[in-house]
Amino acid sequence: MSPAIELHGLRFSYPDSGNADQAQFGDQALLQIESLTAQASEIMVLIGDNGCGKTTLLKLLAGLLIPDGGSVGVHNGPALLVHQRPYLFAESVYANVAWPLRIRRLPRHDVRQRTLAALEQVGLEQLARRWAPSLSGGEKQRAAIARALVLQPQVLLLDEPTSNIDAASIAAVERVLRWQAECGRSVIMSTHNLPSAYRLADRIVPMKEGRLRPVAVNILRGWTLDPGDEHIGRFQVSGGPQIFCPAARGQYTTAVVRMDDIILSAEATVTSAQNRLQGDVRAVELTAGELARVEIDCGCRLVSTVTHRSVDQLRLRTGSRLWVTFKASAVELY
Amino acid sequence: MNLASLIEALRLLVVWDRELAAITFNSLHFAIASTLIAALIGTPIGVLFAFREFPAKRSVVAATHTLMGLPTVVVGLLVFSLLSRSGPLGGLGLMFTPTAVIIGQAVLALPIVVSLVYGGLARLDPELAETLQTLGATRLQRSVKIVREGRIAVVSAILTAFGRVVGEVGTAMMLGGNIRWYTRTITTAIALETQKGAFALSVALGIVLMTVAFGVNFGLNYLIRFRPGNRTI
Repeated sequence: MSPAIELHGLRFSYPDSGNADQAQFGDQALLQIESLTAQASEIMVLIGDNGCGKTTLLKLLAGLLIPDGGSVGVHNGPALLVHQRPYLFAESVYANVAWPLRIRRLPRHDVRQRTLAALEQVGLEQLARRWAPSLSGGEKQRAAIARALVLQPQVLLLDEPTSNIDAASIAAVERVLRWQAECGRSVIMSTHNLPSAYRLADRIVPMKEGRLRPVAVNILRGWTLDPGDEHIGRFQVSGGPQIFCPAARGQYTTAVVRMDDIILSAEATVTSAQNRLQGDVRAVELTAGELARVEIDCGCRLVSTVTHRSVDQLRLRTGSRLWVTFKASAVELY
Repeated sequence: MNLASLIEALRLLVVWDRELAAITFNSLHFAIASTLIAALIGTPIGVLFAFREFPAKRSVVAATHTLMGLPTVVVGLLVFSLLSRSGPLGGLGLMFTPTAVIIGQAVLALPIVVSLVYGGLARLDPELAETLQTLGATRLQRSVKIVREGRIAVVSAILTAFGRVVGEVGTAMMLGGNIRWYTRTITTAIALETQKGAFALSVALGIVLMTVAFGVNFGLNYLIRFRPGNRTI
């Protein structure tokens, strides 16, 4: 399948940073990305501090900013951006959502049908007649998403869709985005809300100072098993092993383990850590600096970051068999 | 002025004297026509100023703002020099016609409309323009939507311009010539009648003009206080 978005050698700097927003990039005021692709049916989540370039990247993908160099390719129609604090027109919610269709002169019947369908998808059908500026933050966010969805974009871009909104709206937004991905659309969003990012992301893309960074966590999908009376919980990785985790009531679908919390050893050593899995090295990637990323298949795919020295000492290479150890408390549930 | 002329003024108002009506009609006609022209030309320029970058934008905006204070007689002089028999447009024979007054007043109103529309629209959320762009609106659709979103600012600008031209005397006098039944407006009539010592018509016209001016201001206040945007929480 060809990627929905392809980006190569992208460079961008704001022309004249008199703006405080943009000054945060420092003197060079630059976004620089070697390459990034997003597939259909994929939810990609950009994470990073304020001013790291997430919003700028989204605006470049949406075609709202023109890059200084490199290429941004969006296949199958334009990518639509939903802003962090979306602007809703001073009219009814229905009129807001219908507007993109009306300006395209679609027949009344189609406009009505698609508008109502989009409102239903975000759970705002009850509020269709409300004055849009009077909505709450979460409702505004959902209305703005519906206004983008009526156009059935193949790529949906969202800037912090789950920031500063109520829990019910977060759940509604997450449901909509997941559904969009299931329908074959690609979703690219930025967020500060890590739980939301971990629950949604097929891929996490950390950013720092206008550059992409390697991912630092393992994200495992699955479900929690009832801990009963035990003080320790268990998480069933889908299609993989059970791992120990902090005891937790309720439904969790995602377990997150930081890559540098995973210890590799040649033999099964006895430690206080509860999780001990045997696996095969699938790849060893020596990155710039002191660290290497080792990918291990132990029923599920886990990546550990270790020093180059450890790679030598353990004689790590593709195919090596080794033990993977991490504490139950190193597992975070979302 | 004495009591007799005040009573006479009230009588003129009550019976709605034919000359009073004609003068009032002229004033409203010139002011509405010139404001409309200024609105049609000035609103798109205001939108352009608010949402487009162009060289020397700051200076152009500042200049427009300064032109809001253009003295009416200077506009009169300017248009006079264009329209008078020896001027470049003298052949059109527009001098001392309603058209001349409307042109002069439109020149007066234009910087007001541009400046106030720009000021109002520039305060709109900067994300509006990007939202319209990402939703795939054409340039025209975007402009129309921006004016709709900033309609309070646009209507206020137009009302302010109307208030200015309906009460001005300089251009109406210089370009219209205060010709009875033809180019005589409330303001030029008051100036003339008062000098003649005929206070009654002046007072009656003054009351009409005040009513119009207060009406416009009341409308402006109403708009600003009860604008729909304020319904947000």
